[in-house]
Amino acid sequence: MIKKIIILSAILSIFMAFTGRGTNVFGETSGDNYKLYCAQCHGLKGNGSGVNKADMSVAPRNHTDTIEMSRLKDSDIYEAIAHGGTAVGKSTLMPPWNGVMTDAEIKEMVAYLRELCHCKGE
Amino acid sequence: MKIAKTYLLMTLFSLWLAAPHISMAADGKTVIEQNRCAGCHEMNGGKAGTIAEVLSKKAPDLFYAGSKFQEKFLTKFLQRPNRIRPAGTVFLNYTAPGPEIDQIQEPPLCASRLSREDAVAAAQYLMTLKDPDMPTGIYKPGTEFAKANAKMIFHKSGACNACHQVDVGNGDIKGGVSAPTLYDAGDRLNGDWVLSYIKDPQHWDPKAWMPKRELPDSTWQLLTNFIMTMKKSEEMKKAEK
Ligand code: HEC
Ligand code: HEC
Ligand code: HEC
Repeated sequence: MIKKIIILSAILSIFMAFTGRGTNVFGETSGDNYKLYCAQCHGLKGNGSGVNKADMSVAPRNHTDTIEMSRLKDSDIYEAIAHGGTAVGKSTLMPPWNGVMTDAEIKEMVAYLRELCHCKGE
Repeated sequence: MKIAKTYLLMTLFSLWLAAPHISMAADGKTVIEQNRCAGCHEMNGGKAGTIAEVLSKKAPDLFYAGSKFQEKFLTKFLQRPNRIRPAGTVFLNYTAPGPEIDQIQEPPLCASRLSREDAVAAAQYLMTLKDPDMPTGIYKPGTEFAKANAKMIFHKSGACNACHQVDVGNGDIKGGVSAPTLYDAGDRLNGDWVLSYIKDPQHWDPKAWMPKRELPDSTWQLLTNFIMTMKKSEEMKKAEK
């Protein structure tokens, strides 16, 4: 059964690559994922000024803030992205993304946020 | 040979006679083709599967319009479209970085400007574009539900208002702008589709930038009931005129 699925998906991805339905058959870059899923709240530049911010009761985190972001451990960032703000005692306005991004994509996103803040976790 | 020729001519003549009647009762499919709706809308079920494809989208998908919409809404909208997505079909295409808050740059409205007659026909045709796999008859209009509870989930624990605008009282519109407005969802959408969509947005649109949450079925039904009560207030209707 699993073998069948693997073969099928391999055929499908080869097919998709050849028909030109998208170039990123093997996954999106974290920069692209950030734009699509996070920028609406955290801003196109990651500075916390997304278009949705105006009516939000808690401001989205500024991911370029070196001091604020270095207070967060990598594991906290992972938890917040995968399971939402409530998983780390923060606002529910920060949604969970584990239903949308794969585990690997979320881990890459943690690394991407570290690039944005030019910082490491404590 | 001669008989065949005469027969052919006669057939062509009778077709010509019948033609004006055919075009008078223009069928919806023809209206949609003649007005090049497919120049902007995906009509054939090609879902955007990558971010690059999302960014190339000019307008929302219509190939499941019959599952998604109410016919009455379509008939009205196709004559005079109103804004549904405050930041456009794909917000990334119409926003630029701003210091305090990113700026939205005049996203276009739907270009449909059909006559009443054509709109009726086009809406009828769109209503035939259904997803046969969507469960139907689950949403029951007018069902009593715990409204205070639904409101709490929508505005607090589920934080749906972070991305969607709703009427928080007497036409006071509040909420996020990266997604379709919901203050008139009950006039626009089909309840069964709403239930199916909010449970699993990525089933309908693999790259939708709406989170998929794990909530019990009863909560999704509660939210659906709540969303379907959202209709344009008298204040908003007046302002439109
Ligand atoms: C609907 C708006 C919204 C979206 C979309 C969103 N966030 Fe957030 N995020 C927030 C808000 C609001 C906070 C601040 C929560 C608080 O301080 O209580 C936050 C906080 C965070 C934090 C800090 C958590 C902490 O412990 O302080 C991280 C990390 C984060 N978001 C990452 C992301 C990533 C990555 C994405 C995209 C995959 C994303 N967010 C999408 C609203 C959003
Ligand atoms: C020039 C591009 C363009 C053309 C041509 C066009 N539309 Fe649209 N349409 C749009 C855009 C953009 C939106 C999204 C508007 C919004 O959300 O505010 C839209 C929205 C819609 C919606 C609502 C979809 C949803 O999911 O909310 C329907 C229905 C619709 N159009 C039908 C049609 C029909 C039928 C035609 C042809 C008669 C047509 N459109 C022609 C650009 C176009
Ligand atoms: C992070 C942003 C975000 C959050 C939070 C969010 N949504 Fe959405 N929602 C979207 C996007 C994006 C779409 C689809 C956009 C499109 O079709 O153009 C959508 C579509 C919808 C639709 C269909 C509307 C239409 O006309 O197509 C409904 C109904 C809906 N969401 C309800 C909810 C509910 C209920 C919640 C809370 C549990 C919620 N949303 C939370 C972004 C969000």
